[in-house]
Amino acid sequence: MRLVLFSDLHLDTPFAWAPPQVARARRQMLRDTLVAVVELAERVHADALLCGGDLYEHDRVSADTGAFLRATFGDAGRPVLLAPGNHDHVGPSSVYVQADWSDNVHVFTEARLTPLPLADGLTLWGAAHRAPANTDGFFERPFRVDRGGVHLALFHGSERSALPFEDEGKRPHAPFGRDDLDAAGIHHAFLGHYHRPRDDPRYTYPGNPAPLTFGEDGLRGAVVVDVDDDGTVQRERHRVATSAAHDVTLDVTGCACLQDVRARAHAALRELDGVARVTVTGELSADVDLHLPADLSLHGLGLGQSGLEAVVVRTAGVRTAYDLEAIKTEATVRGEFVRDVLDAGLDEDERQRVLTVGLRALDGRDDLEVA
Amino acid sequence: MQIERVQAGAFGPFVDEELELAPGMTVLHGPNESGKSSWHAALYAGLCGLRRTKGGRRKEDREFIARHQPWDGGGWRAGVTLTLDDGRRIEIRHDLAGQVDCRATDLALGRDVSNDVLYEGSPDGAAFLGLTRRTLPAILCVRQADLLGVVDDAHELQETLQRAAATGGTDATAEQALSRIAEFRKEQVGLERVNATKPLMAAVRARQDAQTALAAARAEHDAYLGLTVARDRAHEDAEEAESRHTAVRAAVLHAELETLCARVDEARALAARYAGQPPADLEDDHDLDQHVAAALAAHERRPRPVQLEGEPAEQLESALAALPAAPDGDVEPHPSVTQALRDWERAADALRAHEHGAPTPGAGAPALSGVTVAELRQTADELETPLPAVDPALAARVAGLRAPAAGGSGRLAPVAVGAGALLAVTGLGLVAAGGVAVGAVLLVIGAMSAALGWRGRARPHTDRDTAVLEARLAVQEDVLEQARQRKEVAGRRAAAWGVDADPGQLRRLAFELDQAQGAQQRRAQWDDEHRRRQADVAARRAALAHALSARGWPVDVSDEPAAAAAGYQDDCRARASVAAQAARRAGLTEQLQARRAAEAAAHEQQRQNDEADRLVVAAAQRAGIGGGRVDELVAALQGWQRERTASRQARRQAHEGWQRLEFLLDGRTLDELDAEVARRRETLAHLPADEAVHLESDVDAQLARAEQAVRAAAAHAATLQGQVTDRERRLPSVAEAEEALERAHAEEQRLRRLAATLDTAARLLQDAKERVHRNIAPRLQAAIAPRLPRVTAGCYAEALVDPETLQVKVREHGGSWRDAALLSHGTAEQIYLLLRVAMAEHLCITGETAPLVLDDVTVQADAERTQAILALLHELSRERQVILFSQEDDVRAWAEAHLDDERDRLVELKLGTTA
Repeated sequence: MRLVLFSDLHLDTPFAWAPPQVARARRQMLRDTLVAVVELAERVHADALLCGGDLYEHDRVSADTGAFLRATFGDAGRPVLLAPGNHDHVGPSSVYVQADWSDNVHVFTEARLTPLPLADGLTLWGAAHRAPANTDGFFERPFRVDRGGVHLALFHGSERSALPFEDEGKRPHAPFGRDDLDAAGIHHAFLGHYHRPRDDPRYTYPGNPAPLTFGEDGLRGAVVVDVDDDGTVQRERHRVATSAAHDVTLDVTGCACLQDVRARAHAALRELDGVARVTVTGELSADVDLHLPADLSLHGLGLGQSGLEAVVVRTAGVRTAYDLEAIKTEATVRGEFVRDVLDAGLDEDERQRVLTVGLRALDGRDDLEVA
Repeated sequence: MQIERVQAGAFGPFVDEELELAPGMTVLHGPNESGKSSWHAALYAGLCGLRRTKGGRRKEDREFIARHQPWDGGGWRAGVTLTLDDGRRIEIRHDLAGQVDCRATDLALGRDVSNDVLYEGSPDGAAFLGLTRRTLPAILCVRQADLLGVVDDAHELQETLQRAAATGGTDATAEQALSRIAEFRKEQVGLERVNATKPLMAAVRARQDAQTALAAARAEHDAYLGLTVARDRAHEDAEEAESRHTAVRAAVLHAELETLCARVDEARALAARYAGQPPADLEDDHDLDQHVAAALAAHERRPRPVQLEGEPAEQLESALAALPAAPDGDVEPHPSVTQALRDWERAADALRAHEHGAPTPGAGAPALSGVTVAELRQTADELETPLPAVDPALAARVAGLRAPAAGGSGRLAPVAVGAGALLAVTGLGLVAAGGVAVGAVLLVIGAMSAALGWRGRARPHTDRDTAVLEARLAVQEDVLEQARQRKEVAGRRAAAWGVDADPGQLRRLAFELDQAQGAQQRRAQWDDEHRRRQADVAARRAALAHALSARGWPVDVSDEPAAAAAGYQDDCRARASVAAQAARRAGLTEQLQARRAAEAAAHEQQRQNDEADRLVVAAAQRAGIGGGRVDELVAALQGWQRERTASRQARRQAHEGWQRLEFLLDGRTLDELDAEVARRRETLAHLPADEAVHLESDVDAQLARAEQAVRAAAAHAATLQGQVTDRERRLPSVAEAEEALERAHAEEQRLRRLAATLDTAARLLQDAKERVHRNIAPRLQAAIAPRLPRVTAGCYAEALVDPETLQVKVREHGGSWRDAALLSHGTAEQIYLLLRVAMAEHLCITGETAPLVLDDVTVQADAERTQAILALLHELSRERQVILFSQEDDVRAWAEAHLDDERDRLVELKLGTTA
C-alpha cells in the first residue's frame, strides 16, 4: 500500500509581511502546491492521498477555494482521505460539509477515530476536529482497534514529546503520546499540526508543504509512504512547494557606501527564486546613505527580472558605526548627548535608534529614520 | 603637547623629509606651491593617521588620499615626534598606504603605546588631547575662512562657538540638530490630531479604515458561511418536503390500490353471480298496484261510524215553536232605580236620627243688659286685688330725715335697702300675678330704694340721699293711691250693673251668662242641620220618582215612593220569568242546527264507507280475489300487496347488482382491472414506504398541500442558493483584509516608534546642549576677559558669554553690553582667536596643552590687523605651541622682527622645494 501524506497547507492564509499582489501570489502558490501534491501521488502511483488537517483556514476560506478543492480532489484519480484540523474544523459551514465531493473523497467527520478499510487487513482510523480549539485528544477516552490486521491513523494532533521543538505559541490541540498509539493498537499515525517535519518510527509529521513564513527549516513537503504488511512504513520526502521563502542575512559591516551594501545584497539574492527576507545586521558606517527598505527592495536592487517575487527587509541589531567610546569622551554637546543616551536606560534597539538620530542630526544629515 | 618634528617619508611631493617645529611659535612662510598645504597635511596625517576600514573609505578620506599620496611613489608614510606636557616623548609613525605599520612609541621607554590612542583601527595622536582625527582639525586648526566668516557675518562667531560646543566644530550646531529633528518629526511623523494630514495621523486613519474593512470582511464572510448553512438546511427541508410528498403520494396510491383490489374482488363476485348476463327487466302492472293500493288506502281512510245522540230534529223543532216571545221592559230592577231607592232610604234614616237628637232648652240668662262675661270677670279681678302697702321703714326714715337730726341718713341706709328689696319682691309678685303695671312700678321703686340704701350704708347721709328717699316714698304712696282709685271704680261699675261689688257674685254671673249664650248657639246650629236634612230627603224622593218614571213606572206625587218601587220590582220579576222561557229559543235553535249537521255528516260517512267497500270489492275482483266480506277482502288484498312488494324488491336488487358490476368494471374487463392492480403495485414498489402517513378525509387537499410544501421549500432553497452565489461573487478576502490591517498597523507602529525615538533624541540633545553651554560659557568668558582691554585698545574691559546661546558681549566699565560680533574686524578677529583657544582648552579634555595650527589666517587682513593677530598669536605661543602657515611677506617680516630664537622659528618654504 502506497500512500501520499501531506498536511498544514493552510489555503487562504494571510501573508502579513507581503504587499497585496505578493500575498495573493503566495496564496496561489499554496494552491499550486496542492496540485503538485496530487501530481506526485499520480507520479508515484499512490493508492490514496491523505491530508492530516489544516488544509485550509475556515475563517478566511473563499468559495473559490471550495470549488478548487472539489475539482482538484475530484481529478485526483485515487481515494482522497481528509482529516480536518483545528483551522479547518468540521462544522455546518465548513467546506468539508458544503462541498459536493466526488465519490473518491472521504472526509472523517467524527471527533473520534472511526475506521475506513483501505485494503484487506489494512484499516485507516481517522478523526476530525469539530471546533477551532479545545479538541480533546482522540485517545483520552479509552480506544482500542476492534479488528485484526494493520492499523493506521490519520488525524490532526500534537504529539507531546515533539511539542517543545515547535515554535513558541504552538498550542497542543488533540494531544497524544506515542504510548497512546501502542495502547490503541495503531501501528503508525499520519499527522498534521506541527509545521516542522518529523519522522518518528510510530508517526509522521510531513510539515507544511509550502512555506508559510520565513525561516522554516527541514525538508517540508509531501511524504510518500509505503506500508508494509507488518505495519512498518518506508518514507520518502518530496518537496512540492512551487516557490521558496528564503531567509538571507546581510551583514553590512565594512560597507563604506550604499553601493557596497547593494553589491552584497545583490550577490546574496540574485540566484534565488520565490521570496526572500533580508535581515540586515552588522555595523553600518554612518556615512552610508542607506534607505530601508527601499534600497533593498526587488526594484531597488534591480532584481525585477530575477526569479524572486519579493524581498522583505528587516533589521536585526544593525548599528551605525559611530565610535561611541570616543565620542562620549568629548566635551561637546555630542559627547554629552552620547553619554546621556547610554545612561538613559533605553533598550538596545531604542538606544541605537536614539543615538543614530541624534548623531545624524549633529552631523547635519536629514536621513533621521533608522530601520 | 608640543610637536617637535614632522616626518614625511613619502608624502605628496615629499620624500623622507622632516620639518622641525619650535616649542613656541613657528611661522612657515612660502608662496603658493611651496609645500605649505602638504606640510599641513603631513602634520595632520603624521599625528592622526587615517581611518582603518574593512571596506570603502569615506569621501574625505578618499579625497585626502588622492591629494596627498606620494607623487613619485614609494611608501606613503608620515609621522610626528611630540612631547607631552608630562615630559613623555612620543613618536608616531603611520603607514598611510598599507596601514599596517602604524604605531605610537614612547621614546623614553621604547614601549608601543598605540593601543592607548587607537581610534578607528589606527593610532590617533589626537587622543592625547582627548580629541580624534576627525575633531582635531576643527578644534586646533584655524583656517583662513574661519576668520573671514567671523569678519563677514556678525552671527558667525556665535554659530562657530555653538558648533564647536556641539561637535567640536566639525558639523552642525545643537540648535541646528534640534531643528532638524523637529522638522523631520513634523514632516515625517506629524501630530496625532483629528485634522492632521501628516504621516502618523494618516497611518492611524489607514489602520482604522483597515480595521473597519477587516470587520466588514469578517462579517461578510461569517454571513456567507451562515448563508451556506441556511441554504443547506433549505435543501434539506426541500428534500424532506419532497420525501413527505412522496410518502403522501404513496399512501394515496396504496389506498387507491386497496380500493381497486376491493373493487376487483366485488366485480369478480358480481360477475360470477350474473354469468355475464344482465337480469330480466322489471314488468310491473302498476295500474293494478295503484288500484289495489288506492282501494286499501280508501278503506284505511274510511271514517268511523257516528252514533247520533239527543233529540231528533223534529222534536227540537216542536219545542222551539212552543216557546213564548221575549217580554218588553225590565226583567230585573234597573240599577238607577235601586240606587235612587237606597239613597232615599239613607236620607230618610239620617233625618230621623237628627230629629231624635234635638237639643234640650237651657236655663235663662241673667238679666244684665250690655254686660259681657269679660267685663264681669275683670271687675271681679280688680275688686279682688289688694292695695299695695307703703314701706313703713321708708316712711319712718324719711320722717327722720325731715327732722333736724345729724347723721340720720347713715342710719337710714339699711332700712332703705330692706324696704327697696321688699318692694321689688312685691313688684315681682304682682307681675307674676298679672298686675303688670303696678308690679313693674313697685319693682322699679324697690330696686332704686335698695340701691340708694346700699350706697348710703357706708357713708353719712347727705341732702341728696334724703331727696332720693323722699322721692321713693312718694312713689310708693302714689302707687297706693292709684290702686285705691281702681278698686273704687270697679265698685262703682258693679253698682251700675245692679249687682254687688262682690267678686264672687260677679264671677258667678259671668259663668251663667257664658252658659246661656252657649245653649243658644247650639240650638241654632241644630235647626240649620234639620232643615238641610229635610231638603235632602225631598230631593232623594224626587230622584227615585224620576228613576221609576224613566223605567216606565210613573209615580204620582201622592204615591209612596217605597210602594212604587216595590211595584216596579214585582213587575220586573214577572217579566223575568217570561224572559227565561223565551231565552231557550237560541239554545234550541243552535241545538237544532247541530242536530241537522250531525245527521248530514252521518249520512256522508255512510256514503264514503259504502264507496270504500265498493272499491275494495272492485280491486279484489281485479286482483282475482273473490267472495267474502269486505274486511276479508281487505286482508286478502294486503297479502296480495306484500307478495307483490317482495317480488319487486328481488328483481330490483338483481338490477342494482348488475348496475354495480357495470360501475365497477367501468367499461373494462376483469383482466384489465387485474392488470391495473398489477401496474399500481409495481409503481408502489418503487416508492419509499418507510414513512407512515395518515391520510386525511380529503386526500386531494392533503396531496395538494404536500405539493405546495415541495414547491415552497424548493423555491426557498433556490432563493438561498441565489444569495449564496451572489455573495460568493462579491465576497471580500478576509486574508487580504487582515494583510491590509497588518500593513497599516505596522506602518502606524513604525511611525509611533519613530516619533518616540525622535522625541527622546531631541529631549536628550536639548538637555546635553543646555548642560554643555552652561559649562562652557564661563570658560569662554574667562578666556576673553583678561585680554580684552589689550585687544580692544582699552575700549572694552568686561566680557559676557550667554550660556543659552553662547553669544559674546563686551562693554566698557559700567557701560552697556555690545555684541562682540559687531566690533571692528580686527577686534572681532582677535576675540575669535581667543575664543578658539578657550574652546580648544575646553574640548581637549585630557588637560594636555593643545597646539594651535593656523593656515593663512591673515591673508585678508590689513597690515594693522595682521600685526595685531600676529602679536596675539605670539603672546599665545608662550602658553601653547603655535604653528602658522602663511604666504605673506608681512608675516615673514614680522616673524623676523619678533620671533624669539629660543622658543620660535621661521621656516622659509621655497617653490618646488621642501623644508
